[in-house]
Amino acid sequence: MALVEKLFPVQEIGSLSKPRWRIEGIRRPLSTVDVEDAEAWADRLTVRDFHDRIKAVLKEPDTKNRSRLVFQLSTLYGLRLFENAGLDNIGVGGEQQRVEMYEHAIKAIEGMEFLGHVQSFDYKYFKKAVALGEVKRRHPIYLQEFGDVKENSRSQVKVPITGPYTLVEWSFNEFYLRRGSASGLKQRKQEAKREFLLNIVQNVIRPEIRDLVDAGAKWIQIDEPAVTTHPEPFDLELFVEGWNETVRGFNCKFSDHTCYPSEIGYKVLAEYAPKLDKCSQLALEFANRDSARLGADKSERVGYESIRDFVDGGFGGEFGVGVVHVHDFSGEVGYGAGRVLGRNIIESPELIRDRIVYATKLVGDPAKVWVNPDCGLRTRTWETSSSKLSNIVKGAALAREEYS
Amino acid sequence: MGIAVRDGLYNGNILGHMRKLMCPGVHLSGLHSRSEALIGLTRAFDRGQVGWNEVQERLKLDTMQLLELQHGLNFDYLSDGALTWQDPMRPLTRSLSGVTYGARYSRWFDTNTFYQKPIVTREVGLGEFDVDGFVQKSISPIIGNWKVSIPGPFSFSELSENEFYEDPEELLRDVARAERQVVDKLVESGVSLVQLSEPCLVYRPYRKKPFGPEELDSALSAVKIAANANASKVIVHTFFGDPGPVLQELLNLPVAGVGVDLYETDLSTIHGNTRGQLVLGIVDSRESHVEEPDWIAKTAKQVSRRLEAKELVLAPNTDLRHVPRNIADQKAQSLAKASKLLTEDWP
Repeated sequence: MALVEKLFPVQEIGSLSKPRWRIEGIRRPLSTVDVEDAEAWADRLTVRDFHDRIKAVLKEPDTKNRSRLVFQLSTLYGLRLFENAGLDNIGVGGEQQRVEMYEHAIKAIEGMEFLGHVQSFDYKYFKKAVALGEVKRRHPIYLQEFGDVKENSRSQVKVPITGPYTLVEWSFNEFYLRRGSASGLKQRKQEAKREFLLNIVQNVIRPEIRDLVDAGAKWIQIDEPAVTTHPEPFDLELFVEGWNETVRGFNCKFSDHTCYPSEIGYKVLAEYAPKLDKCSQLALEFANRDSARLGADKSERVGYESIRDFVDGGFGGEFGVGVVHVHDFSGEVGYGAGRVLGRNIIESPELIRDRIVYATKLVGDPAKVWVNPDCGLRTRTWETSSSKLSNIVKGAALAREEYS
Repeated sequence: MGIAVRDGLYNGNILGHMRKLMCPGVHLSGLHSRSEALIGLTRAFDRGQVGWNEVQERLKLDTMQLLELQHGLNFDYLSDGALTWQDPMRPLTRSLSGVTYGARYSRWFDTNTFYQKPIVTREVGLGEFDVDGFVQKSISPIIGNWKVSIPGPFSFSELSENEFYEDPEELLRDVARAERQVVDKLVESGVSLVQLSEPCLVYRPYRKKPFGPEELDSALSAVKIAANANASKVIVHTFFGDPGPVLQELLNLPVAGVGVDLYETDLSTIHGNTRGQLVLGIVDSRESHVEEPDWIAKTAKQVSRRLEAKELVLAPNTDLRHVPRNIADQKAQSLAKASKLLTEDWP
């Protein structure tokens, strides 16, 4: 079901970092430094109407209206960054209008309240909310952003949304736990989780998808990084139940994005993936677990082995293959495989080619392979993200030569 | 509560024994949450916006506050909350020779937190050991019994990537020997209680093979090696899984105590007895709801009818870092109140 007529189309997978002027511009009028920074990138990204747009931002006295203009401008930058890098699908321009994938969605849900931050890893945290009442969508979550994207994109787009299982898994669940009747502590948590999930699907996610599809969305990527968190039948069956209810009756392309599981996590997801209705693509993280050495055989491409589990498990859709790392890198890089710049690895096109070629061997059908970063690039600078994305495009071109 | 006595498990002073059962101790179980202020500073530090000194000052304050909280609540052992640790594995990884690390982060069991995966590249032994990396004892004038939680040898081996040993048993044995030296050094430095966290003994996710007797025997032998001469100062805490299938073997370990996660345990089938402490993971570190002291006390009584122990300890099921700091502190308070309720309940 590829929407692009060439092998190994390249897609973004989620977020880009936000420039300072985007962060500050929704809090206070832009400073000269912010404007200069925005202008420098406008030149690089060929944002032709930059001066008109920035004048409008600077002249706007109302904070809410100014924020809208900043969001629109930042979205445009994200789209251009992806387009200039040569991507075939540019998503929504790096999710510039979202605080963060979880927080952005939760803010739009009645019944949820933020409690504070908890650690994810090292000095990275996320703001965690609790369900204190029955959940309902307070207002559309992604619709305005999609409108801006549609107006400004020159390439194919898709709308990443945070999946219901992840929203539930990353939240505390006091309301539904209190309503639970099971006698065991574990059983009560499971019962409450199911009720919470089905409420989110029905009252939040389906209305959102309805709005997006009505507005013209053709492809919705459901981000479910949490799905492999509990590699247990109860949770995987719950995920499948939630997914199938989410997509029921809608006519558009759906794909799943999942990343950073334990090894057993991917194995179990592979077993359940064929049960996902209308799931055309699984976009997965692999580069993080791979070596940074050239070679298109098993010994070097250890990170991609789990593709076998999906194929053997019977998943017949496309794969979005993660071919570049998106976090800090501190390992060794083999000759010709890339270079380390500070905390980043910039994978060479040749390493990316080898990853694509090996993944394709496992998938068995080159027409089913899309390529992308492991996950969103929000922790990298635009400079680094541009380099990585350009190299993915070059790597995909090199891989295409192998199949020409 | 009378089962231990009835079955002749405990031969000492009966009243003293009953009092210990119904005057349970209270511990924390590992990494505590960082405060919002500290979180803000560490994020700013990560972005290069503040210097390390500012972070360090706040770290000290957060740690002091946590120690004062525990001291005020009469906790039996004081934990510094390991607020400097980036994950539960990190200080041990850095203290072992033959163990390195790369860029790879793996999920910490079924949580939304991640740990830097240790990579075993040569024979494992004790490397450079710095006690301050494990416990911040000098940070506060409070005098108390210190508790430190480290991953047990079985879980550390299971969670590492082994690039050196052909036989995983050898890896396990070497890690256990190295950990024995870590335990010895911690005790020498004045630590009164070392928790060996062994979630891998009970976490058996779907499709993972159940424990065979030999594997279980190796795992428990490794724990014994690590505890060794300091066994009376070591507890083995399990979480993230139902201890049921291995519970009696755990309870038979020659250590000061064994901990279980009640939120994963099928209480309807569980039974066992121990001559040591039974640490009940009775407040849920993964849910924001703060358990009522009444409920904790009632549940502890129910469990003690099924699990006979010389002494009960109330604790979180795992690291309280999974909830925001104010909630983690409230949960600690609930534990202390529940212990008081149980004590007052004693005629």
